[in-house]
Amino acid sequence: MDKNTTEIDFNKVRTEKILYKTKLRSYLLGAEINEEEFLLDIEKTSNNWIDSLGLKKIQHIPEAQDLSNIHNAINETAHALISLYKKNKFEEAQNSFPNFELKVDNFLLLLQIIELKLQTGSSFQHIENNEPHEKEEINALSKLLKNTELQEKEFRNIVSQSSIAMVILKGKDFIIDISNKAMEAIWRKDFAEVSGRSLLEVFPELREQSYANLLKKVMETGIPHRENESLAHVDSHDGRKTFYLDFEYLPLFDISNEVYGIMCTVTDATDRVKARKIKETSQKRHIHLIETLPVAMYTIDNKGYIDLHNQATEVLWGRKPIAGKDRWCGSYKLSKLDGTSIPKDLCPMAMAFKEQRSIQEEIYMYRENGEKRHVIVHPQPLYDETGAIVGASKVMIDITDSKDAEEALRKSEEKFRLLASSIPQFIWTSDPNGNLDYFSDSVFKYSGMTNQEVSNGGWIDIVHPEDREENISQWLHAVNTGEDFKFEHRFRRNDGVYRWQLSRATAQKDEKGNVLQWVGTSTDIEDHKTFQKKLENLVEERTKELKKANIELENMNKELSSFAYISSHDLQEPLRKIQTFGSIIKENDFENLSELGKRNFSRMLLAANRMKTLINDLLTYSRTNSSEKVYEKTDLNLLLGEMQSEFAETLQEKNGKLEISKMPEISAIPFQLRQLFLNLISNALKFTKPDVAPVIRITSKIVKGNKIGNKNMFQDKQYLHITVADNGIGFSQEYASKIFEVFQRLHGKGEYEGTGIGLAICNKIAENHNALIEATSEVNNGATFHLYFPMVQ
Amino acid sequence: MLVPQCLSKNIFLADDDEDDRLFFEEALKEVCNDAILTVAENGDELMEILYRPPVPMPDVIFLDLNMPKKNGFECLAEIKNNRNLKNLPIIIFTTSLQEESVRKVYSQGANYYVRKPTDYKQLKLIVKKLLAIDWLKEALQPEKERFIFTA
Repeated sequence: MDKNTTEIDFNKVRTEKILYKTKLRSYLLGAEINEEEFLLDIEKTSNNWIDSLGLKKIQHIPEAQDLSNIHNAINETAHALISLYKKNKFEEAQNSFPNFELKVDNFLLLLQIIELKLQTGSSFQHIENNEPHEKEEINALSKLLKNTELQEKEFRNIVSQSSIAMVILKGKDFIIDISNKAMEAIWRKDFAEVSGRSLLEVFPELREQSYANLLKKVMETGIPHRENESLAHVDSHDGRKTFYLDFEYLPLFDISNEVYGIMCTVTDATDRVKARKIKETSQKRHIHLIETLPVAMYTIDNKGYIDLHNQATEVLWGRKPIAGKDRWCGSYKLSKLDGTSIPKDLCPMAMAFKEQRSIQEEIYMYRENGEKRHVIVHPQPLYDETGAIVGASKVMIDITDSKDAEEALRKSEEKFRLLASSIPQFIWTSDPNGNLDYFSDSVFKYSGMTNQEVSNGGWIDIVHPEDREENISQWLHAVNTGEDFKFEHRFRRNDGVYRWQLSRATAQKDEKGNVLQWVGTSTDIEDHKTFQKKLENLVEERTKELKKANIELENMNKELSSFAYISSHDLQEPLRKIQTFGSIIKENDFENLSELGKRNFSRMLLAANRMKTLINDLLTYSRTNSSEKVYEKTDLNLLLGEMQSEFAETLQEKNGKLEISKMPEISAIPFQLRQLFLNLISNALKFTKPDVAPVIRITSKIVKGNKIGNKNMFQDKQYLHITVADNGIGFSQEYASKIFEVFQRLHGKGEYEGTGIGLAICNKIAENHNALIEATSEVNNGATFHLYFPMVQ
Repeated sequence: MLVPQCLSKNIFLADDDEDDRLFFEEALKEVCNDAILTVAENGDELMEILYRPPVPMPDVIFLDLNMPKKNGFECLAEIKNNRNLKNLPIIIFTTSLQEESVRKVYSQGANYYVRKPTDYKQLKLIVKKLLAIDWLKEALQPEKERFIFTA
């Protein structure tokens, strides 16, 4: 009994340990196992075993102490692994598992030795030294394992009660001997269905997979095989199912130390693997996302060393952080916005980690080449499940460019405001909908209103009530069409006085022609307007005066005309009577007068005759003034030819000569031109030297206006320059212009006849032709009259 | 110089100017002392005399243009429109030398146009020449160029 108990105990311990190992492995790989219960369970079992087994029972065996130590070491390692696992250090825990496994294997080996020693009573040395003997002993153990009915029952119990899927296969055909519910769940078959059948017969699909070969290998070599998360396809009634399995093929030896079967322990890791795969994929995605994110991001570990970072971080810092060397921040240098330098261990990342708080701050980061970047940093501490700080992550946003743009905009805006506030004009802007949203200071100064009062349409209050309706209508028109706005209206000054303003606004448009905003100005035009009004009044007044003067002039002209009529008719009549009565007396009674009476009577007749000439000349002059200007093509050769016959008598009398060269045609008023030459020639024949025969030369040439030397002439028009030169007494050049005035005489009436109107008439005629008349002369050296007639009027 | 015969003896003068009438009478007396001069001081008076029978018709009428009441143009038109009077020789006797007037009276059918001369000698000469005209032979108007009569 004692022996049996011992034997059973050994088997139980062995199975338990194997289960323990399998369970732990499953646990570390993520299986849902209540670890506390499971730990407690195992420890208890072991303790029970140690107690029940009693070190006394085996204390004579040197390996017993070792077994106890290993047992404790196994438990310690298991605890350590579970603890690591709980701290989410999965990999570390999993990596350390072989260490645990080794311990378990050692335990099992020791256990086997102890068992053998107990059964055989032989010493360990004996076994070592006696090979056949040892083999015998081992065979005995396996035989015991196999054949003992009780052991078999116990074994079955353990297997069937285990929550871990288990199956025991026997023989080269892998006959399913024992399996449990967990195994059957994977199989999706009842035990009755598979019991006593070959595994490969029940699951032919295993042949295609590596499992058949693996089983064969274990069977042949006796070396256990373990694999985690192996992909397995299992067919059943409901089709093929795919699993990720953790499994172990443990060879079972018979007494002859031949492998007679395999114990398979299987843990379904499918859910765990799938979950991890999903986690891995999402992690991969995360990492990819972060890596490709334009925003710089990095993390530090629990010692502050930079462990993860993305491409954007390197771009921002201008360098690659060195693993295990760069701490807190990989930037070359840091400073606050005011320029104060920030040491690395006081940087926002360090502070977030040390003080375990989230920080958001704007700072400057400097690259090694001195470049400065304006950055918003946002470090955040990272915790594990237990709430322990494990590091920190930091997001960094480079806002240098937008800050620069912002700054440029602010400066330009500032400049505009400064400009706007420094000029007297009102400057205002409006949004595309016509809502005025900015007014220069001058608006407030002028109106005495505040920004708040003029905003939101309040500006219309400044506009004179009479101008408002039109103002709004014009403004809306501009806003709707995008056309320029231009309007004159009155604005109320802070003292209540309205002043005229000229407002203009132009739309600023984008490339597509959409209005972005309106910029408007209003200029005070009150003074300008007042001045304009004054000017208008002045002009009106002057015009009135001019009109009045014109009317007066017209009246004067009329009076002059009537004077001409009076002189031609009413004055001439009595004069004619005087002359006629004189001539009757001279005809009939002259001889009856005394000598003195005869002389006086003759002088009276001469005076009457002079008066008649004067009246006739005045009449001619006034006719020259008032006659209409009708220009005709005039042949000067013909006209001057008439002069020859006109003056033929006088010329003959004075033995004079009139030499006329060939002349072109000009546009002229023929009868006036005739008068002109009559006057000039008769003048020349009048002022002759007593002892010199008069010679008058009339010549002509065509000249350009700019050669005449008179700015009143059309400079680029063609003129006919006619000269009338005589060899008479001439006159002093100082009188050259005076002689053309009315009633100007250079000589006494006794010396030369004349009324002093002749040359004034000539001047008048020249004026009527837009021509010029000038005279050059020297006393006693003849006179030359220059006429400049436009060729075409 | 051969003194032309004084063919017209019954002479009418219509002139509002007393001096001019005096000059004419004086000159007429000197050039044709047996001529009978009938004077009208305006156009109305002239026409009254012409319409009043049994006054013998004049050999020639000297007609001033600018007269009060009926002026010379009106008288001329009236005479030329009258069947009994239209053949009477009419000599316009005026101070005016306006072309307009000359043209008008020529078209109205006056026989000569005389501008009252200032010189008395000239006047006598003109009157003498005019009275020597045989109106039966010279019933028609002269050409335009010879219409203005000078000494």
